[in-house]
Amino acid sequence: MKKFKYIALGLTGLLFASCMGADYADPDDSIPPYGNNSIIGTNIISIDSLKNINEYANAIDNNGYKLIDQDIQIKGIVTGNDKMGNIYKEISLQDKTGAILIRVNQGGLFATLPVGQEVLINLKDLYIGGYGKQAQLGLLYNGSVGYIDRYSFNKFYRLMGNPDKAKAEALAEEFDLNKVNDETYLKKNAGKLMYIKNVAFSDANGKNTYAPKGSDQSINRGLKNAKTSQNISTSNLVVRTSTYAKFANEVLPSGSVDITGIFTRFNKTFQILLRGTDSTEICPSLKPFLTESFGESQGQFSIDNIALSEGVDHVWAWASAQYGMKASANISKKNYATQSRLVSPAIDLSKAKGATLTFDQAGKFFSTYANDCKVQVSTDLKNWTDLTVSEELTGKNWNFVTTTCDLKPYVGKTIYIGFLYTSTAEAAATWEIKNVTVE
Amino acid sequence: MQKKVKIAVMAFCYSPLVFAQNVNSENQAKALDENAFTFTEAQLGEDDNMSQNVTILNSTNNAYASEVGFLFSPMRFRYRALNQKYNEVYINGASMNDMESGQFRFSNIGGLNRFTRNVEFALPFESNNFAYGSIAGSNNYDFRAGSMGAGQYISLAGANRNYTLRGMYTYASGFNEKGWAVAAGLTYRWANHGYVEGTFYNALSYFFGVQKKWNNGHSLSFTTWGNPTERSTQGASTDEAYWMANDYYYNPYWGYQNGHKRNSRVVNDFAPSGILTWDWDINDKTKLTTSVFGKYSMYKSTKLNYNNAENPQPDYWKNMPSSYYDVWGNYNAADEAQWQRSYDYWTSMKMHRQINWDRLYYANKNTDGDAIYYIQAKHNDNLMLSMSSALTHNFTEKQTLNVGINLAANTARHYQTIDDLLGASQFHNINTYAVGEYALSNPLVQYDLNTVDANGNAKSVGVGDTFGYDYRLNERKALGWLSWSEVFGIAHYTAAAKIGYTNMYRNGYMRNGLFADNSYGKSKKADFVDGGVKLSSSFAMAPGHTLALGIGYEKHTPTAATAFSAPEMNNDFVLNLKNENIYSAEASYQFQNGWLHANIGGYYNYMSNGTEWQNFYFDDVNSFTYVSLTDLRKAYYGLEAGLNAKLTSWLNFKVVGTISEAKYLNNATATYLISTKANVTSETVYSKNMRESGTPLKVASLGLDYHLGGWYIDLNANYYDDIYLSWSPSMRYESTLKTTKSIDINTGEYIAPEQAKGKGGWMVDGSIGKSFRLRNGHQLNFNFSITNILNNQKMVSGGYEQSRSDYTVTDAGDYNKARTYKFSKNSKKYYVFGTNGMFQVSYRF
Repeated sequence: MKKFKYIALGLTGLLFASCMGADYADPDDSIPPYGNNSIIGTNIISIDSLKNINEYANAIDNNGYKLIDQDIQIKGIVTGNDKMGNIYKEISLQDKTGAILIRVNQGGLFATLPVGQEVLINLKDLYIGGYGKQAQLGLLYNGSVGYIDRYSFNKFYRLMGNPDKAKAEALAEEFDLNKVNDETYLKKNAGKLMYIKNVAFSDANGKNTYAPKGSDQSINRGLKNAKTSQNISTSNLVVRTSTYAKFANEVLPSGSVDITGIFTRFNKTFQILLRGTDSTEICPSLKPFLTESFGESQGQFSIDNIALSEGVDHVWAWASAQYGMKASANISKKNYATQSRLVSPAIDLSKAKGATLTFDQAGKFFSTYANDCKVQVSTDLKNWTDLTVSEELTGKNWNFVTTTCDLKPYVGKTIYIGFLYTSTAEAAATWEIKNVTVE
Repeated sequence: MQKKVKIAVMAFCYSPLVFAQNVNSENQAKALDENAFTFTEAQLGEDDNMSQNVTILNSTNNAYASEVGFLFSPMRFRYRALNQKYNEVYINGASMNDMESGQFRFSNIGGLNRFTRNVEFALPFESNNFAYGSIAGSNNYDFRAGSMGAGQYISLAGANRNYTLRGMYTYASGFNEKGWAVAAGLTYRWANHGYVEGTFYNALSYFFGVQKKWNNGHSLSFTTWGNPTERSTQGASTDEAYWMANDYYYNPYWGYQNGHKRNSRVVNDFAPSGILTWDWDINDKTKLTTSVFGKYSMYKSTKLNYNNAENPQPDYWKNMPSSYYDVWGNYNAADEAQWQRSYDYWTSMKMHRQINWDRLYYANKNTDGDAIYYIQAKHNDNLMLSMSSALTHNFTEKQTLNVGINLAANTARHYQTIDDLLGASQFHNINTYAVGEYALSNPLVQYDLNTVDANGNAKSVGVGDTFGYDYRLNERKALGWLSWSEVFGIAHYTAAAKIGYTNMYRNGYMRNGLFADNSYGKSKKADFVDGGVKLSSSFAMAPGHTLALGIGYEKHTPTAATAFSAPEMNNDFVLNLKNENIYSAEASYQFQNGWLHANIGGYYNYMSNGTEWQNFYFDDVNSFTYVSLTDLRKAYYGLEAGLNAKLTSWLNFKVVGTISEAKYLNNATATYLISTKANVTSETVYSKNMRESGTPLKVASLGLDYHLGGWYIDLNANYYDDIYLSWSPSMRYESTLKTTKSIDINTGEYIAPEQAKGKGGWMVDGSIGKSFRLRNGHQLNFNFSITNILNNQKMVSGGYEQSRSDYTVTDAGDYNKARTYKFSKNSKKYYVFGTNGMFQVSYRF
């Protein structure tokens, strides 16, 4: 019977093959059918500078509004939208300097503005303002910055190219829990896509969900520092979820997690808006990629003596639990020219979102710190690139200084860290390294 | 004397054939087939829209019934406002009504005008020899090859209706000396752009029959026919949309793709059928007709759907100006400016008020994950087999006994497939409406637990794959009936009785997550016994004066389409499923003399224990609901009058009209299943005083009929009124009336909103034709018919109230706040076509 049906339908189809029903050529998608393709970025300013223009900054701070009457544009990447029902009728737009929310009275914005879509926004005739000091763009409605209606919105934006999620992920920064109270930090980062590591949900008990239905439309969930078990005050930081989110009824994860989301602000509180709950947004905290305290030995680090002068048989050596690994080419009060590198074992950053190298260093007798002591990274143990250190030793004392280097550009790769020590016959410094972590 | 009566009786039995050759009836039969369907076809999208169907009705001796079938079809008139399922259509004695919905799908015989001219009609209380008869009339078409008028026929027609071009060819041989007869025909109807913008039409009809007659009174005939059709449909919209589009035929179902028009709702329909009929004239008093019938119907209708996004329908309420600002409410400058922006957008370009396919493709291509917009197709593959046998025995010329038996089985597979992913790369068989209510990992959100992978993820589906639901409804029916007709002095009475048995069950092919134990596999079986008795009589009071009375009672099994509470989701039957009780009565008076034929009558039908079923999105519970209405009590009553006066031998004057009422008498029980939860809610629905919808309850017509010298001209002025739109149950639930505080302060009773009505009015139709008898005996015919000569576009032919709420509710279900957009004031309507016509040239040879 099925065969007959197919034959019959096939005949029918043959008969009508040329006709209106069946064949529709896919539309040409080289010119986006959404938005205003005539917008030109004649005067693009950064989002951060937009928010800092005096009158606009005041409007944002005072929960007021201001009409943008200059011919300026911003260009950014969509980092958050309503796909999972949590960020409703708004999108977060971010460039390298900062982020801002744009409110649009339309559902299903994610269809036009998926995460990773680069957008050029023409700001003239839009209103900039604040809600709880969170900067947002919209149009005026009854005395405050309201939604841009769907008809007007089409005129203000232009889609630039195809969306690429990686562009959005590249903008994600690590949230510094120590600065949670810092007004400057709040101002600079409100609205950005960020990630916070090693936190846990205070209410996670295997049953509590993100946003159970009740009298409120959105639920704030508190966090605690998973490393110290100290609660983070809910007036500083919360995860805020709408009861209409697709994951509202999912159980809060237990244990230490890393959370990625749009970090909006409401006055003094950072409110993390999740974009979803799959592993790219919330995942169990990754253990550090490398920890080596040098408390007992050299550990898994290796030493590559690149150049040793006559009479010198080593530069780097494990000194003690107190001093860690020490490099010195001063033997019996004589300086020798050497170059030696302390190389870490392979560090797999393939699952990392961001990574930071942290170590404690101390030292003296530098000719120039920057020349004598280099912290480097390599992916192949052959080609080494210098890393920028957060602190350069002054050489004035033996105090250990906690220093960090950003390893974000190496996310996704396997790397090696090298501590390169160089000395000459005139100057041979002493350099001590301990408590190396990459996380 | 007896011989004369005998001849008279035989003549009466064969009168349908005789009438078929009468020029007037020819026109009638042709027009009926055509008009009855062409006006409604564009609006017949899905099966459940069949409420827009018309009744097939005709009569040889009732001046009212002989006209209404085709005269009022532009307004989708239904005889006595009864649902089409009470109008039975037979072919060679075998029932053609779809067993599941009970309704007859006209498209099954669409295009076969030349073969549907031999038809016996029986009004509700008229005796007939092919069935018990139904309260909205019964028709028995004769599809035997030997009954078709011999000769060839070819015609070409142009029209500006649902189709623009029609070509027809038929051939019938008549019986040859050996007793063989063959009839065949092909019809093709086509429109690239139908009357309604964005619609197209493509239908091929074929017919082939062969019959052999033996001298011993046996005859065997086999006929096969089909009407493969592909057409696109028109959507009803609101008055606001029609006003902004400045077009009463604004169609929200189509849009531009790459500059071409593409309609999102395309229907593909093909039901090849075959019937084998054995006639046995046992003797000159007894006749046995037996038919074995089979039909395999494949019906598919597409729909644009969306996943997680906003509804892309151009007249979605959030795209309408009145959703921003209530022009009748308090003034607010910001809202008014919004209204203006929306209005300007709508009216500035046609493309702004139609589907923007290019945008849908673009969004789908740029998304990672499931398609945001896609076209889904609803399928109904249906196999029907039946055997019917009827024996007619004339004991004397005055006494006739008809006995019949029908056995039928129907199995229909209902399923949904992906028709087009619109540029997206994937889709999964998951209940996207339930995700959010439950976590994604919860098995409750799966449509089919049987195909979920090891990690609990839904099955990936591509174009042509089944998703959503997949089930089969099986039904078996047996029916026995008999009727006894007797002429008793001045009375001619008929007593008839029937008894029937129905068995039905569902077989699910998907294990729905919300009903894991109750959706896959066979349901319980439901058995029903129904039947009826009726008595009708006509009294020949004096020559030309006839009084007819009829009374009947029947129990009617609920159709399979209304018997299951949510067949897409589970195996449950509707709670308290009962047989419907129907009491009917009729009284009429007929006067006939040489020049005047008049009928006047009244009827009354009372139904109780009725069951209806529908599904829609119910805002107050934020999900799709499947609603069963049970314990319905309805009354249909009215006066009908018809008059046909032969003013001269070439001019007839006709008046036809009815004043009727068709209403719900009580507040029924609504039981609905919320599609994102497994529970069922029951409450009272304030259905009292709701009316039957989609048909004018008051009609009147004045007509002139001119026929002389091969010319025939018809002019009819028709008046229609009391057209109600399909009422929304959820607006009248007790809980809704409580939420909206719709209570009478004095009595404390709930006040249900009044039912939306459509505007009626006058419509003038006419036709003009000429037939030429050529020297070689062939006949050439020209016919030009126009409907709605006065171009009255303001009349509403049907529509429905929107089922969404004028307000939003809190999570607890309490009234939250009013919406600016008032669904209750924005019913969706269909307007009647403006001036439209068909010009046909036909040649008979």
